[in-house]
Amino acid sequence: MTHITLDKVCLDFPVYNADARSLKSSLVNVATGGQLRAGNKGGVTVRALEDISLTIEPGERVGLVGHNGAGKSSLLRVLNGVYRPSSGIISVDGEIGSLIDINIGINSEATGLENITTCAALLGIPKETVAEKLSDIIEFSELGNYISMPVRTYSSGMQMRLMFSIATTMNPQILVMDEWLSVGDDSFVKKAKERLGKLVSETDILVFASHSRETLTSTCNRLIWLEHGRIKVDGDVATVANAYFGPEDPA
Amino acid sequence: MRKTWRIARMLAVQDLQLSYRRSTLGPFWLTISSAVQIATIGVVFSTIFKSDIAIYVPYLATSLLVFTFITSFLNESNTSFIQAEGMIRQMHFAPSMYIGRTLIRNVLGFAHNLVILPIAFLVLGTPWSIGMLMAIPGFLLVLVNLWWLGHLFALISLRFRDFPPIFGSIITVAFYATPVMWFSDQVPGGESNLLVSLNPLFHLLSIVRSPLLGELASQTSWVVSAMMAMIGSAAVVILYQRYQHKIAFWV
Repeated sequence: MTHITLDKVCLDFPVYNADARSLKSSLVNVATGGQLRAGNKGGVTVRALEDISLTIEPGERVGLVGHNGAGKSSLLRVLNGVYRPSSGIISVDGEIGSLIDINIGINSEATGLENITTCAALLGIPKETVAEKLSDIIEFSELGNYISMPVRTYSSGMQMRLMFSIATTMNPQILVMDEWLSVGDDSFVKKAKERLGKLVSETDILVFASHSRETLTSTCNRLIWLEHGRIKVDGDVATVANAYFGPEDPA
Repeated sequence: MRKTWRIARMLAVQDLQLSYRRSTLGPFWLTISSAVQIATIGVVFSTIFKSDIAIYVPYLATSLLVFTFITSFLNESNTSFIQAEGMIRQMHFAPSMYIGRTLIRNVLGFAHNLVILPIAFLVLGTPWSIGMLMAIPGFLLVLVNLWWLGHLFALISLRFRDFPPIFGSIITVAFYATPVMWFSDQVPGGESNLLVSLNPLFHLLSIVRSPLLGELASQTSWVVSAMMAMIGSAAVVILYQRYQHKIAFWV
């Protein structure tokens, strides 16, 4: 069964200055017995997440709120396996799809079609699915004949539509998303919303970081407020949204 | 596992295409420049060394192609992780995927260059023999060694950012210190001269080069290469068990 459990998860980031990244000064360190630069030994660490314990069950649409640097993105990256917690236990059952940055893997010299193949593979979309949905991806992106042109000839809006169409072809059990995918083009916005909504509705679990009250309240059924890497409030949408964003405008 | 390889192969092919997309000859540009390099050095040094072109040029061609393959892979492996920074921060792939990408890219480049050999051999009347097939196990053993070396250097370079330039200058010097342009029997003692016998690059080069030239690589070269492969792979497995989850923090 699809399921996410985190038990007392902490995440420490090592922060290296130029010196700590240099082999030469590290060797000098060894040679001088660490006396000269003793202050640098071990380096500085920043605690991005502290003591996070939570369980997410199927059907939950979890929104993460918090100020910049509160640990939202770090938490998403712990969930999708990029960062291993420094301590604590994480268990994730279910296939994860992450939409953190959909432009990853795009190759501007390659054609739109070629990019569909590579980007889809990077996002973990099976080859068969891509073959099956190819015409749907092309049609949805509204690129027409441009699909066989190199991506460098695209406008930024066109590129965004292509990447959006590819990314929303995935069908994971758990979807991890950093900000609602925004697709600038006005005429595209409505159908993009629908398509993303469909993708979200087909997943068992959604974990999603956002700053937009409207998106969060319309999508989520649980909100987690992170502050300084800790869970400040975890609860139903109305309560947490009122606490975090302030009471809703009666108007 | 299969998926990892598929992605590594896909990215490697994409890397190659990316660099040559807008030229008609594509990666064969590299082949042409290698051929010109071989012809020039061949004529000049066979005159300096007063050796027969029909002996010197096939030797030089094989040496240069194999040596360039080894060193260009080692050089590029330094940036296997650094270059994929964006991907590493967004998605979770086995670290070997990035090394595999670099290795496949270099093997493909090498395959393009390899066209030069049969042409040079035909033109210069180098004899063909069944013993040339021994170059295949030799090449595979080289690949095993490059595999662990690539893992090692990619990790060191990620942690210590001044390693790639240091390594680059070592490799430049190694080109002159290794019997690539010169024959090992031109130094006193031949292959038992410490300058040659202590050079791991010489042994790796020998097990591919000698069979192609209709000779047998010395037993020492085979033993050294096999020992390096075993000890190095074991060391890298231990190293990665300890540090592979740090990769996402180090990029």
